Amino acid sequence: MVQMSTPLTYDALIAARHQEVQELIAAEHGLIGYIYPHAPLELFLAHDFTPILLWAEPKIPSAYEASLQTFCCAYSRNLFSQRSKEHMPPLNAILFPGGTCDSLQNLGDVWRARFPDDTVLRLTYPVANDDMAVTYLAEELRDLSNHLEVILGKRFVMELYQKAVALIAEFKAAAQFIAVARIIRPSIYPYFEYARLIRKFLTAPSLNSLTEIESVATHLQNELRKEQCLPTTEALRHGLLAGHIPDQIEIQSTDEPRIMIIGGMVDSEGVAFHFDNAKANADLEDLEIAFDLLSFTYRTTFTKAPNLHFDPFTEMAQSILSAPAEATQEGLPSRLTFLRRVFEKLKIDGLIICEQSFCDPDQFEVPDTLKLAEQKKVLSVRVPLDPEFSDRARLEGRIQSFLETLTAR
Amino acid sequence: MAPDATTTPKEKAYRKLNTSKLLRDTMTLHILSTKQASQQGRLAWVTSGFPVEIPVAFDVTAAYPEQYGAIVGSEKCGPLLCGFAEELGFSQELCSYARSSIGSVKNPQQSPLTGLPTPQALLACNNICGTVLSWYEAVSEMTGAPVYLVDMPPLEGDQPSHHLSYVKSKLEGLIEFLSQTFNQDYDEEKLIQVAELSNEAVSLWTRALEACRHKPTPLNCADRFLSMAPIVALRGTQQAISFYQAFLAEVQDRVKNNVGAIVDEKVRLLWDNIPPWFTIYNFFNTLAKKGVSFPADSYTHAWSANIPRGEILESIAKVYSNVYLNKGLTAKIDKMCSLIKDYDLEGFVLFSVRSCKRYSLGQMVTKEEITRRTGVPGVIIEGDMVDSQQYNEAQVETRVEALLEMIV
Repeated sequence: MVQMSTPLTYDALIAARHQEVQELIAAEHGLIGYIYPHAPLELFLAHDFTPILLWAEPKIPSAYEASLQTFCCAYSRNLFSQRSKEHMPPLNAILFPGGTCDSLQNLGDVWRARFPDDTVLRLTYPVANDDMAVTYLAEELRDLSNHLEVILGKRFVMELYQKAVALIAEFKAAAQFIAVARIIRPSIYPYFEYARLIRKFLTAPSLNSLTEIESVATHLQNELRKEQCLPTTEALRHGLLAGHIPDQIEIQSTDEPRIMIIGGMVDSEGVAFHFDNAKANADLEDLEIAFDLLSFTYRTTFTKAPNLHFDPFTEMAQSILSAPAEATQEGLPSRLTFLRRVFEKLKIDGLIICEQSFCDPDQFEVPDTLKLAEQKKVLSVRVPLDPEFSDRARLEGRIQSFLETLTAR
Repeated sequence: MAPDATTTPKEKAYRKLNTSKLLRDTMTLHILSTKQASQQGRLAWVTSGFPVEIPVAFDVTAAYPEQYGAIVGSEKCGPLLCGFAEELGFSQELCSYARSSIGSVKNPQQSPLTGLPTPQALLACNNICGTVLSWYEAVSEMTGAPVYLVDMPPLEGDQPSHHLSYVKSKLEGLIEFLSQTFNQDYDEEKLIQVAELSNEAVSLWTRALEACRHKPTPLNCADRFLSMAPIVALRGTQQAISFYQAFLAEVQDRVKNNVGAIVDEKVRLLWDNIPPWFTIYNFFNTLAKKGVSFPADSYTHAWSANIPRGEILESIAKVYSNVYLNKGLTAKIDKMCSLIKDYDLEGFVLFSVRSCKRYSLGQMVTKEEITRRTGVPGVIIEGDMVDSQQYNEAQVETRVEALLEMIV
């Protein structure tokens, strides 16, 4: 049976995360922190560093005001406060993205000025996804690799790269399978657990965290095999990897409404925590989130794995640029087409839109998303979800009202 | 009570430019030409840092939503138009240029000039900020006009060859897009001619800006912000050259005769960022009465690079990739420090514009670093360029007063 944990409080959830990071530090790995979800994990591992996703910290006291204005995005402000309060793990370097949004672009510059002893790396992404964009990003990755060797003294090791590609590819395959199994039958595995597994792996990619997620995927595979749903599940997984939902996919109707979450770099596990509290308050224990299009879950895991037979940098660039539904990339029309298809084929009844304050790329897409939801008769709610959001009871109340309205429909 | 004998009763602290009528006529003609171009199916909406020489070489007329945002701000209807966008679901936290533009598309009849004419293409270049892509894609959903993005990823230091190749490929893609959208073949000779016209206008504009090193400065901040309209909207055309020839002549005449933009220049300051359009005259003229001039600013100097001779697309790729907004905080600080030195400025005002993250985030570091390097004091004031609801006049006044106390 798959092991499941239930968070007691939000504080307990955060404490568990700290424990994982502390274990990583104790293991004396060289750590490189990153912020933007589409970081080249394989590259860091190939240089014998552990990439660690720097999550927002809900309990951190605000400490950005002397360096950043309030209209900097919530995630950036939170990270800056963590660093100012020396709440971050000891990192060998921190990677900032360039070209993804203005807040993170400028945050890197401010960080360099305020923390001159930190090793600040930059990977600048193209906004397009054509052959020239792949070539450009491949060269950026090559420059980053050279930088890692020169600055941090660890060279790119092909054997480590090969192991890293296998590790990340297996993680993504398992995560993809769980996500798709949950689309087919949301009650098969709690969304909170799914988000937790992904968060754990991204906090510290390792064989241990891989084993945990793979055992869940195997268990779900067996379940779905018994129900003869495995071919549909695999077809949907391959379809989503290619950016579409195959025609033959038919989701069986159930009594429970099917709920989807959309948003950007929000904490999926945190969202799940509040959702679970809201449904408990509404006496709707059987309700589950069916699908999400969030950065740290769907957008990160549904990317193609690098092919080991070709140039590593080109392959990593292709892998990164294959991230689906990414609002920092050009292509709103294709994202809306995909969303329309998701609403129709995956039989979505309700949509929770998670918004972080001053997050331009995601906030810009909300009106078109709302319009589409209305056209497709999908009930929607906007949920402001800054990391340091203090009035969590009110937030859960909002979700609870939404769930009650949805089930009454 | 008798008037002060030392001043003429009706003399204003600020001197209006004679070429302001020519400016108004030039821009009115431009607005008319955009309406005509739209009717003829040859209008593109273009971002301010876009390599506009290329669409101009395709006989495509460019309209500038950012410039329209300035008009919305000046007409003091920013909150109304931004509100229209917010009714559609756009967050109040988003750029007010974008919100007012989207609002005007939704409700043109309630917008100044009944909004910008309907575009046939939307041309964005992200060398000024990342918002332009999302903004233009949102407008595309409303108007049906296709978007073409010239992606110019931010640079750190010198432009590497793979960056140049990538940007050049985007320009080649632009040519293909324009050829298809406007059914016209590419003519490289024509592009070279347009680039030469563009360079000539940029040179005239730059000479006018550089004339502000003179004491007293012949142009104050509002003069430059209004007079930059043709260099933004008409680069690559003869109209821009004609205007800036007259403009430069007036500026040189002021220098020759020692006539300042303000009557009694006592303090010279640097301005950073887009101005609060809804109070631009009030803000700068109130300070002019106290003898405060702004001989330089970081914003209007952005249109001061010539397209070098050589392979034309490569030259354009180099110039437009290297605008200092695309080169990070250090490049901007370097530029501002050199302006303070070259224009002999005694302090600086950084306008923290809530709408403009690329321009504004980092100003706290900027303030400290400029003072450290140059020794002159500065102040940060907060607000927005279009949305007057985000501007607290009393607070701004207090902060500027505090700066002046440090200087005088």
